[in-house]
Amino acid sequence: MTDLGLSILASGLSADTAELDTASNNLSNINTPGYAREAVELSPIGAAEPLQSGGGVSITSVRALTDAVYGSANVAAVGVQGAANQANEVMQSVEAIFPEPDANGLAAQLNSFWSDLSNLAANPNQQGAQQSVATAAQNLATTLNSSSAQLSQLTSSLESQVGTGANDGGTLSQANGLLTQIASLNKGIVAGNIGGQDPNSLSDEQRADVNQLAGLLGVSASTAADGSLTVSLGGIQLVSGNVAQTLVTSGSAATGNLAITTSSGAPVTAGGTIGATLAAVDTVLPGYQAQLSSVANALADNVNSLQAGGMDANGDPGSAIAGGYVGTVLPDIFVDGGSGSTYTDSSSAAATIAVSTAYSANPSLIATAAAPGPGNSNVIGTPTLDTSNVQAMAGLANSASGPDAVYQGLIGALGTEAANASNTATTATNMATTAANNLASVSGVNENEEEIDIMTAQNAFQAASQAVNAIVQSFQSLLQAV
Amino acid sequence: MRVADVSLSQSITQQLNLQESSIANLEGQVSSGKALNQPSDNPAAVTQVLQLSGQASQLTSWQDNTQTATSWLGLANDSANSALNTMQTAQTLLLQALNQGSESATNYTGIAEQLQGVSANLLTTANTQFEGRPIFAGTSASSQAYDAAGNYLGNEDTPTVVVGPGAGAGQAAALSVPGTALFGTGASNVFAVLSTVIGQLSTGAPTAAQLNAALTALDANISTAEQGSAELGNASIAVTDASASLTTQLTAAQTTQAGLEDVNVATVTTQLDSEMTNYQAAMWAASQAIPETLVHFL
Repeated sequence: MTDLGLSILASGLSADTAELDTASNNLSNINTPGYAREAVELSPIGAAEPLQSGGGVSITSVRALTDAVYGSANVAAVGVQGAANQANEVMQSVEAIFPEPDANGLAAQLNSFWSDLSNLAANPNQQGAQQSVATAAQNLATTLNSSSAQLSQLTSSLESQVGTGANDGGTLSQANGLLTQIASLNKGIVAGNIGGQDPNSLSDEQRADVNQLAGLLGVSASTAADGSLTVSLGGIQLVSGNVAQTLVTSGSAATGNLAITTSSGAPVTAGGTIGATLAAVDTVLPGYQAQLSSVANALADNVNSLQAGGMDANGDPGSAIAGGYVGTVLPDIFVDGGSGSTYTDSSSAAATIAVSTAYSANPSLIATAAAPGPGNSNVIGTPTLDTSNVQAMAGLANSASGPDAVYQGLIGALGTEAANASNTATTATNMATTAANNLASVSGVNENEEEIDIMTAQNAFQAASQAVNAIVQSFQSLLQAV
Repeated sequence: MRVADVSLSQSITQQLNLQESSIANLEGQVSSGKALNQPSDNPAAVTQVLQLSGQASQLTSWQDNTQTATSWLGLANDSANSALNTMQTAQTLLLQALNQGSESATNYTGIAEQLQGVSANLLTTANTQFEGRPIFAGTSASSQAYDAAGNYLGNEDTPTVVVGPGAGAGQAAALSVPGTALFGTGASNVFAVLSTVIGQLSTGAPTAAQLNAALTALDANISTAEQGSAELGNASIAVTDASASLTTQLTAAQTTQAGLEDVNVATVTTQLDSEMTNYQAAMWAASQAIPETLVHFL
């Protein structure tokens, strides 16, 4: 006994409805991150017996359209982009600390220090000229201190951006949240697959999570046989099945060894935003701190050494030539730390360089005159207006080992690194866009396509309805005939 | 290739972002007038600009020094000339005394008085100061070059300033000469010579030998002063030369720096113009492409 094809039509109508539902769902999710376009997979129902018509259509599945190659390329590109953008942001922040060429930058302040020294050399007996040198020296120390403090501040703000991995709002805690979520989605996906349910929406959510995680950590992901997603980073599995690792930080920015480990202590080499932040905190920023300190060292060493080897207008000798002199001995001009009386080179000297209080309280204590020697008639303890020593100080402007040359090296290196970071970020963004477009060419929703699908399904639905009508009328005429 | 709508809008957004940042950069250059606003704008050029501005600052300092030197040397030259004139007056007075033969004692004492005035003038000239510092005292911190008795209080070092590049601290220019280069040394300095002869004249009966010895000593002093004066003249010429060369170098450094640092307005506005055109074209394309889907034609 047959129902004159009504059950066949019913299967067709439900297939059309599924097509309409799927197209509507696709259109609704046109901008949803991670969403993969879905398509209804249909298969014909075979005839029950030979020489009969088929039994209609069955819905095999609603499949999400993805591509493993494009998918993993996209995840990789997002990781690279995250790292490149973060590195670029760090370099822009460093550049903002050294906005050269600048009329008030460190280079300009060095220039005015040298010209004040040159002016003192022409007017060794003028208090105003002495005071100008002391003020310029003070300005230099202050600028070095404040640039160094800004670098430190940038370091600590980057460190707190990463956080410790605990629930502190840092990027690492975000990454941990995503790892946990991916693991719990894995659980649902595996269960859904086993139960024969459609886990597409769980997978969509998971893809969005993985993309976000890739931007943060530069992870890679692969799908296991049971449909669950394995997330790994540098050979360490962060998510496997429904188990997620928790990441924590080790070391600190202060010691230049801030790093990430799993909770069991295995070191993890992070990429993405977090990886770039770690590199900035551990390597890039300490590098600039050290270069800035080299500027401070070059300034203090050169000036102090001339100061130690000369004598002031009053005949007071510098420490190197004082011998057993019982009167005033000239203080160092630059010291490391406000209350100190000496200067020691260090890679963090820019933070602490200061003008010695003994000198700033009495700016006449500067070694304008040369030590007694064959070329002059200077005598320790006898006032003199010889200026050859302060001329040599002013001449440090040209010294290849002077602070100007070192600072120019810093700015040149900074400019090159910042320009490279900016270019790398642009390239990485382009590559990420290409990768995203490639993936979208498979998984993305195209409005026109969906409209056409809707119209096709609508036509088929109308045709099937028409067929139902025809069958119903056939039934009625048959019943009337009886 | 299938194009998803989200790719289209993302590509357009990214393109517009790139163009906007390029326009912002060009606008920044036009409004600041500077092509270099941060090290990454052109690392090599920024380093060069820092070098050039350091160089320009140093050249300016050296130029200031040439002005100081010019003032000192102007005063020193005038003083040296006036000292020479004064010494020549003394010479004339001594010759007068010698030629008078056996004149009366009053005449000799009169000449002695005149010579005393001449010596006092000369002492004033020798103690000429510039900005509170005696210019003929060498590098000594003494407040006077000569004391009232005509003893030299300064030293033999020439005060200098740096006026150009060179070995050590740079090319030194003399500001003056030590007093001994103009007024003689120790017991044979002009004040000692005059003081001796004034004493002899004051007795009213100087011998011809005494007067002749004084004249010889004064001649030696005059030739010393002439040498010192010539030295000062040469120093002036050196400073003038240095100043001219500094001006040339400073102009060159500033021109090069401006070439690197300043915006070429014509180039940048043209670039800005073409960027704006591209930007508008991209926005027009976006406005056309994004809203158009099949649904508008159903």
